[in-house]
Formats: sequence, structure tokens, C-alpha cells
Amino acid sequence: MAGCSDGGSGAGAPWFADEAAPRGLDFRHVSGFEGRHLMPEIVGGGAALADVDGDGDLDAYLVQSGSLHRPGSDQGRNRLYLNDGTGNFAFAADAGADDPGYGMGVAAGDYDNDGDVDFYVTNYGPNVLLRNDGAGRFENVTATAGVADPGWSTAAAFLDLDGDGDLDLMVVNYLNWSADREIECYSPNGFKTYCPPANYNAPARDRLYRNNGDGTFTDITEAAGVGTAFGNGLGALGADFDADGRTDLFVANDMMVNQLWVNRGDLKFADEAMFRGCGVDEHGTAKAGMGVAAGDVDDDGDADLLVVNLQGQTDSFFRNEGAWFEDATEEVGLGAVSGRYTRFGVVLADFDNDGRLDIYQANGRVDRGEGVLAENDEFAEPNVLYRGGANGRFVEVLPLGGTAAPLVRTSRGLAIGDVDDDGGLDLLVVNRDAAPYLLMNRAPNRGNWVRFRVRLASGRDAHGAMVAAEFGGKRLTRAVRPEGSYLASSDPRVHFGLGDTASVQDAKVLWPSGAAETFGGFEAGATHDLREGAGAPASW
Amino acid sequence: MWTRGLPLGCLVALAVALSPACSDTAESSIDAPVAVALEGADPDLAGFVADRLAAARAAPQSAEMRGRLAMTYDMNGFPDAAAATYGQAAALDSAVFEWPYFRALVLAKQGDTAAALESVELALGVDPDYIPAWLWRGAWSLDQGAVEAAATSYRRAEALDAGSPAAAGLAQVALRREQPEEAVALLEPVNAGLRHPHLYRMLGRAYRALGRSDDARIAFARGRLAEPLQWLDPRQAPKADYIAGFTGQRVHAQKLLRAGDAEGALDLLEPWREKHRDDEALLSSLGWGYMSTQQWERALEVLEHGLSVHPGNYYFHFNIARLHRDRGDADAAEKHLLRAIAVGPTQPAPHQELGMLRSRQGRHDEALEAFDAAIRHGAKQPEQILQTSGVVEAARGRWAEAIDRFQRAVDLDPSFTMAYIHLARSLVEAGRVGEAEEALAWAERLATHPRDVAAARKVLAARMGADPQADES
Repeated sequence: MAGCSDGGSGAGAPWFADEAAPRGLDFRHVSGFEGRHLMPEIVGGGAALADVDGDGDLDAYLVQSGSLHRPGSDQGRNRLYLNDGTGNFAFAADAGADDPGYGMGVAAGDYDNDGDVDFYVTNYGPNVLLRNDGAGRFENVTATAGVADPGWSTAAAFLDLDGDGDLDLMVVNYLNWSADREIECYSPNGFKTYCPPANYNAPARDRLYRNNGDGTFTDITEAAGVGTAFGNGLGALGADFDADGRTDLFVANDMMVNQLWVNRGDLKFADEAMFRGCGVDEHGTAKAGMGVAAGDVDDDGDADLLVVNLQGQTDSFFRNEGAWFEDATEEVGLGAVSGRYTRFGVVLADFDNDGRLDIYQANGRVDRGEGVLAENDEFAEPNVLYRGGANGRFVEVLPLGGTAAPLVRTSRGLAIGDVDDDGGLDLLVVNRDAAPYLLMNRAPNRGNWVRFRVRLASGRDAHGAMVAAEFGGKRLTRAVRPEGSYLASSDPRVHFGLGDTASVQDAKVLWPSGAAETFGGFEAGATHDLREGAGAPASW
Repeated sequence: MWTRGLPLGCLVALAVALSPACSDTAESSIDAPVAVALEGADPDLAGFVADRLAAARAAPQSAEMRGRLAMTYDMNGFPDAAAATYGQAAALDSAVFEWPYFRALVLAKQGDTAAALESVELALGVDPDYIPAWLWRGAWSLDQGAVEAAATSYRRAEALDAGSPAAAGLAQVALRREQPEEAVALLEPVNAGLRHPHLYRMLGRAYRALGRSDDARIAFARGRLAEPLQWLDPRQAPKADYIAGFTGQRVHAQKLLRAGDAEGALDLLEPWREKHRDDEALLSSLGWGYMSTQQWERALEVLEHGLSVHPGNYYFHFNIARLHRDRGDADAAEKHLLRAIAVGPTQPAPHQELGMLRSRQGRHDEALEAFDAAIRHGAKQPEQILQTSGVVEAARGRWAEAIDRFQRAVDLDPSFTMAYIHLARSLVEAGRVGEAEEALAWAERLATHPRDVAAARKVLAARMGADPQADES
């Protein structure tokens, strides 16, 4: 049942257990560090949870970095693991998804509307579009599609930005960097380490590709207006922040002002982050934005933003007020506690199924700190978990990170999804130069739940669609949003924790087209399909 | 005195020295001095730390020695050890302001504002009149959600004549309390003189809450730069003496250079020249320092030596080019700019500089090409380049091209008065009088360049008088 006690009480019952190895994820990330500090080595490590073979369960895709000294070597290939339906995985060696580039992250989406999930892999160097044949085998179609951004890309997102029914592609770039222009940097205590991005004075321009609907894309960066702003972009996601029926884009920049690309229609965008209050924090500081999550934390029907930052900087919780954002970091309880570690991956999700969004953050330093917290890993830090409280404030869950013993590695990419379909959201965390964590949800006293697979008439997951569930006198809003967090793509299915309520009275969908449908009631404890056109027309 | 400050008091002269006569009133229960791991560290730093540690061990009851050790840790990247050691120093002598104050600053930097607040309370118990401590207390209280405590802190700072930072803090409190009128009343007088981006942004929030949407739009446009409000903190100045080792001092010197204290930077850098004569970063910083202090010959000598040992360094070429430019040698400047571009083709600054140089030479097409490259590679203020390049186009009577550039400039910065004026004049020339009127009206609304606006208004009036029907738009 719901209403479990505050995290940390209940004898400190853990919420997660790492089962990566016993469940078959034998991946080990390789940064390629060989003594000379090359900037991409400290930020890589992405992951996706997506059903690539159409069997209804979540498969795992892990993005390898590799070696900047020996690109394309065998240690530098991405790996796909297929789920056997029970949350156990087997390496799919012949899937063709083993891109050898120096990998960063991944976006998952059905760009060709053929009913299966494709991957766009971001690299230091040309990115790669991998087309799924429907059986979980992939073909590199980058050249045909025309999406090989040659820079240093980090986040990417498949979103239908022009409402034409196919997924366009936003690619976020970090720095104009090359190994032959690497510079030496030192920590304050005199040890060689990785440089802050500002030292390169080389922010990059993000790229926007329009899907032409025929398997190809057109680079519309300039025409869309996105080419006017440069940044050290690391995180990105889309949402209709201003409720005008069009998907906007948010980009978290590292030590630079964030960007909020407001969609003006006709694929024209304007950066209004400063005007709308999510460019810098309340004190005027451009923080080191890494990962970003969106969710309706205050249950008012719109998407709020959570951006995570460097040690010493608090998280930035930007509460959506409709036409602008307020920095409400302190009001949600994150002002006092969130600056202890350097955070990368971040998700807002209901882990204990009590109807309120919780937070998980994957952490790890970017330069050598004072003490070493894990053997052979001078950047390691513990991950953290916050529970969403009834008063709208987040409270840290103890034991630290919600696991029996703290997980202390240099964590980066973080994807979320229920890999064993038991109703609890699990986590996949990529760790630099280490094995990943597969954190199986063991939250005590988990509440009831219901989940929706929300698809367009074409069968594609309806990225950007909103789902409102009414139950127990409440109306909660969640979105189909696989992108976000850090270098990750997550389960597109929409999950609702219901507490002790056994059913949903009504589920409504606001489709990317702007039309809304109602689908009636659903019993808890199952995943239900919501297909565009199958519901009754409704007002949102 | 309390105007917009610079980071961590690194620029200010020593105002209040640490008292060498701090009384040692130690309890014998104070822990032994904290040691840190230094394997692999800069030998100069390791030696400096070892000396301070030995001194603290030799005088275990001395708060002064413990405090010096703490400052050594603080300034050389050992914040945990610094916080612990400042705590020990404070326990040894609770009458010294600096130890709990410095401890609070370290803790806040580590993200522990709750502990920082506890420590700054101790410091304020010793000296309740130190303004920066109240300002920090206000900021940290806001982070903790303690709005009343923040208000008390800022009011106290205001009573001590803190000026704009206190007013800004009180305005922040007012915004938290959803009292935008009060925020406007606090901010408008302060910002009239200071014109700081953070104050503009707060004004924008207040105007927006009051429904003054045009004022909000202008204020947000003027607050585009991500710059927090900072303040001088003279009691931190002595800590700079504890930065040890080559890398630490070099990094600190670069901070001083960025903050405009070139002489202070050179004082730190020059002693290392002999020992690290080919160090790329040292030479680059020295070149910057000499240029900033107008020591042209020394700058050129350092930069050319740097180029001889690091021929692929973009900054050496770029800065040598700027030196030649300032001496009027355009050919040599262009040569080095082209080399800088060859080495770092995606760096915007040499493209921009090349555009300016060619523009001055009347090589307009080449100038525009360079300006566009600068924008394409992420120049920091593209609206300024668009304005400059728009003027180039306008000077050639290419009104459509000029309008496009001015329009892009004002799209990026809706508070850019001169770009609106140029846009209006170009629109007039293109016969688009209605749009020109709109642009000029907005320029008037911005209220920053009345003479230029008036001149443009005359042109517009004359044109309308000559041909009142002229408006293709």
C-alpha cells in the first residue's frame, strides 16, 4: 500500500538493489584514460531502456566510450542486451548496434514510423543513426538520413516539433574540442585533472534536423533560429512548457546560460530562457547544468524542470508558472541538501507508487577532489535518492542512495524503466570505467500502479503526448518523454503510482496533434494500450 | 565601497590583517592538526603544506598556527581539511572572527549551507558589524528557505551601509514574499546607477508580476548576461598569501587577470619565469598581463618566445596580432590573425578581429565574410557583430541586407537601442516607413540614446513629409 514512511525510517529499508551482474549486464565502460586528461573521457557513458525487438519488455543499450587514442578498437563498441521477459539480459552480439565511435549518449525513437524503435547514438565525432528492422537488428543509415553531426554531441531527442506525425531530431553539442588542442589543467591542490569547459572558450552550436518523412532529415539549424546560440550543452528534453500546443526544447548548459527554445510554429524557435526565468538561478548564476528532468511536481498540469549541477551548486528546480518559471529550488527542499555532489543523471519518477514524484541522481566528480571515496576511482561519489513528500518537498532517503550500502562510483548516464514488469520503476546507471548498476526497485510498501503505452495511430510511441489520470479525487499528469536525464533514453511508457487506489477512473491523452481523447477507467497493476483514435474525443 | 564586487576579495588590498596577537586559549582536548595526502602533488605546494603542518604541530595550542594551516588547505584545494582545521582554530581561540567566517565560506562552497550558517553565526558573534558576513547569511538563509532570517540579515547589512547588495537581497526577499511593488521600489534607485544584469532580471520578475510586460521585456533583455551580484570581502584578502606552488599561483594569477588586476597577476607570475621559461600557460598569462599593463615590448617578447616553443598555440598568434594592430601594423596583424584561424578555425575571436581590421581597410566583402564566420563559430556578442556588419552594409546602400542584420541584432537583444535606430533608418531608406516608425518607437521606449533617437526621428519625419505615402510594407 501507499503512504510508506519517510525514507530512512522503516529501519532504513533500501529502495533499490544492484543486480546488473546477476541479470546478465556484463558491460564495463571504458573511458580510455591513459594518463593525459582528454576532456571527453570524463563525461561519457550513456544508456537506453527500450523495447527493440517488440516483445513487450525493455531491452538495454549501453553506450561505450572507448579510446580517443585508438578509435574504433574492440574495447570501444556499444552493446545491446535483450531482455528475456523476466528482467534478465543476454548480449545481442549480432544486432548490428555495436557502433565503434567514441560514444556519449543515445536517443531512442521510431523515426521512420515503421513500428519499431531506432537509435541515434551521439559521439565525440560523427553521430550514428541505427535503423531497426523490427526484429532488433540494426543498420547504420546515417549517411542516407543525413544526420551525422560531426562535432562532440551529448544529448539528443526525437520529438515531433512540427506536428506532422514524424519525429524530428534535436542534437546537443558540448564543445568544439579536439585532442590536439587539449590544454593542461590542474586542480587547486596541484594535481593534473580535467579542465572546466570555460577554459576552452569553445562552446558549440546545437543542431536541429527536420524529419522529411522519407527516411531522410534536413538540417534546419539556421532556418529554425537555433543556430544563433552557443553553449556547453549536456542535457536536453522537450515539453510544451507554455501550453500553446507546440513542443518546446530545453537545453542544460555547463557553466553557461541554459536555453529554452520556445516553439513559434513552422519550425521557428526563439531562446527565451532568460526572459522566462530558467536561464540562470535565483542568484543570477549560470550553473554547471548537466542532466535535466521534467515532470509535473506540483500537480498543476504542466511540466516543471529539474536541472542538476556541480558540487557546491544546488539543483535548480524551475517551477512552471504557465508563461514563465520560478526558481523554487528551496521551496521543494532541494536548496539545503543538493549541492554536496556533482550530479549528472537525474530522473523524476514515482518509485514508491505513492502518487508523488521522487528523484534519483547519479553522481561523480569532474576533477580530482580532496579525498578518494572509492578504490581506483578518484572521481567517485555516492548517488542520492529523494522521496517526494505530501507537502511538495523532497526529503532525502536513507540509507544513502536508497541502497543497502551506498553506491560510490563516477556515475553518468541514467535511464529508467520497469525491466521486470513488476510495477516498480528500475534504474540503469552507467559508471565511468566500471560496470553499470541495474537498480531493481525493492521499495518497501510500494503502492498500486497503472501504466500506459501511448501510441499514435501509426503505432509509434507518441513522444510528447500528455496523459492525465483521475483517481481517488486527484488528477495527475505525466508525459511520454523518453529523452532527458543525462545521455539517456528511458521507457516511453507512462507510469502512475496510485497509492492505495485500485483503479483509475479516467485516463485522458493530449496528443501531439493537439487533439484530446478520453479512454475511461482502468484497473491497477497492468499496462494498458492507449491508441490514438481509439478513445472518445474530449477536452483537455 | 559596497559596489559590485569581484570574486572572493581577490582584488582588494589588505584591509584588515589577521591579528598576530590572537590569544591562545586552547583546551587541551583539541585534536591534532589534520594532515592531507600529498603524494604526486606539486613539490612546492607539498613543501609549503609540510611547513605549515609542522608549525601547527609544534604549537598545538596556537590558534594562529592552526588558522594558518587551515588557510593553506583552503587556498590549495583541500576544503574538507580546511573546514576541520578552521574549526580547530576557532575552538582554540573563539575571539577571532576569521576562523568561523572562513569555515563558513568553505562549507557553503561545499554545498553545506546549513553548517555554513551555524559557523557564520559564530563569526558574527565576534564581529557583528562585518557587512559581507551579513550578506552571506542572507544568501544562505534564502537557500535554506529561512526568508525571515534573510530579511534580518539584509536589513542589518543595510543599516551598516552595505548599499546595493543589501537592497538586492531585500528585493529578493520581497519577491519571495510576492511583494513586487516593494521589490521595484528597492531595485529601481539602486539599478539606476549600477545597471547590473542580476538587478535587471529581478526587476523583470517584479515588472512581470505587476503586469508591466514591456518593462519586463526590456529588463530581461538587459539582464541577459549571467552575472551574479558580488561584493568586496576584504577580510579574505590575506588568504591569497597561502596559495602555494607554481600551478596554484598561476591559476590564481589567471583569475586576477580575468578580474582586471594585471599587476597583481604579474607579481605572482614573474618569479616563476626563470624556472618554467617554456611553460605555455605561464607565457600566455604573462603576455596577457604585459598587454594589460601596456608593456608592449615585454608582451611581444614573451609571446614570440611562446610561439617559438609552442607554434601551434592559438592565443600567441591572436595576441601578437592585437599587439601589431595597436601599433598600426595591419599587415602583421592580419598575418597573425590568419595563423590563429589556421590553428584554431572554430575560435570566433580572430574572425571577429579580422572583420574589424578589414572593415577599417574598406575591404567590405571580406569583412562581412569574417564577421559571419565569427557568428557561425559562437562569438560572444553576436548582436554587436550584426550591428557592426549592418553598418557596413548600410554604408554601401545595401538596405535589405542591412535591415536583415539589424533585425537579427534586435531579435537577439531587444534592448539594443542603437540597432533599433539603425534598423529604423535603413527601413526608411527602403521605403518601409511604417516599420521604421515601430522600430523607432521601441528605441524611444528604451530611453538610452535620446540624441540618436531624435536624429533618426528627424530623418523619418523628413521622409514622411517628402512622401507621406511611402511605405511598401
